[in-house]
Amino acid sequence: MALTLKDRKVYRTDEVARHEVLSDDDKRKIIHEYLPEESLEEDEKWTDHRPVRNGRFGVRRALRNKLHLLIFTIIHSIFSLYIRIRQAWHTVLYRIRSIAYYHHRTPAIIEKDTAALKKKPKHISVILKIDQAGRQGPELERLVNEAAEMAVWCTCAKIPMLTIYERTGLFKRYLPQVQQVIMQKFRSYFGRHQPSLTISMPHGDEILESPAVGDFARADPRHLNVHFISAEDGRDSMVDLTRTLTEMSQKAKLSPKDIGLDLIDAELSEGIMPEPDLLVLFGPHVELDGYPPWPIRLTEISCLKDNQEVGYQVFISALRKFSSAQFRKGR
Amino acid sequence: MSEIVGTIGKWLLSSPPAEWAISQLRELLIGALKQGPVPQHVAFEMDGNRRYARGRRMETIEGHHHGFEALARVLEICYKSGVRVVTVYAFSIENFNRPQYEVDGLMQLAKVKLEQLTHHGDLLDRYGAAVRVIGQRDLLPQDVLEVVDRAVNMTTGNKKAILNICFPYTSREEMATAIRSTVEDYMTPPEPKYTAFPVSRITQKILSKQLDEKEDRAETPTKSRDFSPAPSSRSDADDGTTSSSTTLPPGSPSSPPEIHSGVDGRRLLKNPETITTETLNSHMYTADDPPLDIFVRTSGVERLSDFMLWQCHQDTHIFFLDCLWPEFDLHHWIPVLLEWQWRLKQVERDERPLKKRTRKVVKAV
Repeated sequence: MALTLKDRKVYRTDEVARHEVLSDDDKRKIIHEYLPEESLEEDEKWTDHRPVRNGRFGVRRALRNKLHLLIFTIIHSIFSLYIRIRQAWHTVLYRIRSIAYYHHRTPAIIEKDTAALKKKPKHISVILKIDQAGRQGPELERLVNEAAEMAVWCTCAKIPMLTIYERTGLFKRYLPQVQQVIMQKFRSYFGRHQPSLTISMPHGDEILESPAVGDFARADPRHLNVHFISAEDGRDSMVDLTRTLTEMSQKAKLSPKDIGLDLIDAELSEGIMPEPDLLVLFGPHVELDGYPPWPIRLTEISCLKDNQEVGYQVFISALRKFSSAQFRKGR
Repeated sequence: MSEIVGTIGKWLLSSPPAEWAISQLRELLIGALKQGPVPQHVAFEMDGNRRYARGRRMETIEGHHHGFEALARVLEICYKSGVRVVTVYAFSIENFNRPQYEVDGLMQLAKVKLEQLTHHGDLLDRYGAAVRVIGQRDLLPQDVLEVVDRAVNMTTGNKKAILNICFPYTSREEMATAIRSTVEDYMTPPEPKYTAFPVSRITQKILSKQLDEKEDRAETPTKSRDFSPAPSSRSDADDGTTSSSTTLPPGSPSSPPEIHSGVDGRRLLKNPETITTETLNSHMYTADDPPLDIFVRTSGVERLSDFMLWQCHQDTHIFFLDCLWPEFDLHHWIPVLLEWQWRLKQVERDERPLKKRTRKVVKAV
């Protein structure tokens, strides 16, 4: 178990004195105090069914087991209660916040919310999830709508790049429709003014572009790039890259020694996506769900505990948290 | 007044009976939590040693020493609760950018601790944990590397648990290394395997048999067709597809041996299309370990910081905790474990009715 106070004191004195206070034997003695009982199984292998030991301690062990089980059940029922209360509290809190921070479909409010931030991400990424139980039609509509909302918020917050991750790659199949919905959203927020918009996906031949109209053309030029990725852009794309590199090496066009971090980084950030500064999760806990592993090295991950909805207040609180985060890069 | 109460409280808590009671309580809690599902692989990003040191007005390196104590504590808790693999981020390649004295201090710390481990290795065998140091080892100073090797070799036989020390490590470097070594793997032709049945001898046999048959057939053409494959029959074609060296046209026993080597030479390199996620996975440092269940980062920073990217981006549960690493103890670990167990239960509960429903649908159909 954890060191007793006395032992800890001795240990720390020894440490400060460059390990000259304690002799090897003293240390042995201290360690002895904390070792677990010698395990009876000689060669305990990694198996799930451990041999049952019968001996005179059988009854005591059984009793202890029952006690542990009892405590386990008690702890878990208490914890379950706690988590329900926490969830309820968070639901109420987020509901209040979403009313308080509502954007009223007015770009000016969103601009005001974000103008005060010290630091803003240049590239923001979100994970949207499809509800497998729901029907596909309405689910798709909901997702596309959410993506479009997000695009508008980014434009208002003057964030030039938005990457949307959806595991199954649903968006990729409906890019033109998605573009239509985003343009509609723009119209409902900005009226006749339209910022220029680019919609893309990795390995996609077509890049959908639409020009800026009205104020956004000259007075306040803004551009938004929406990029759609899915689970296949994660591990699978790295496998693809490895295959290509292998083929090149086998044809002696490349020496394996030249394969390094820079080469891979250049390929993946160009072919798949650049590193996002901020990743916003709308789920109740942090789980990456197959998001590409290469670009998220230094990405700030934002997730509201127990949150279930995709909403503006999640977005804005992620931006706030980002602006107060420190970046040290290992130093 | 409150100060006095505080001192008395502290004194009471550190008195031997209280310490004994607390340690019994800890044992009890760990034993209880063991009754549920236990994560097989946990990763810790030990962040906050320096902030801890600054907060307590001590030297940076002393903060790291306290961090090491926390590590020892956590390892004990984990192994007692049944975790098989613990991976810790001890030193990032980026950390070489820190002030020289701090880097030296950390290297010294690692060296001394591993050295002590080797001194008392016989005792520590009782924990049954194997130590592995993963990362770009060639960046380590020679003296540290020697100690590392000794410690790793000494514990390599232990099978109950594994401690992966990432030192010096970044996840991108790991992935790049995995890709490079995969490519290298596919560059080198597999060693000609020694078999008791060399291909050349078999072909020789077949050829000579064919020759014999020909001669036989010349004598008794009707008989041979019944019990042995004729040179132009189907079985010969099958041979051609399965083994690379029987591309000899039937009935031409004197074909030159260059054809063999030529065909072999091209065949020997493995096809890049056979590379899969598993191939890459098996080239990662954590290839033999179970999938990562829990990722814990302390000190309130919500970034992965180049740690276990490949391992944690799928269904790993990631926890960002506010406490600093040297403070990390059982009471931080229990909520994490409880919540993980609770989520597993939730997922199970969600999946069960779904299964039932699908089964019903199938029946209805």
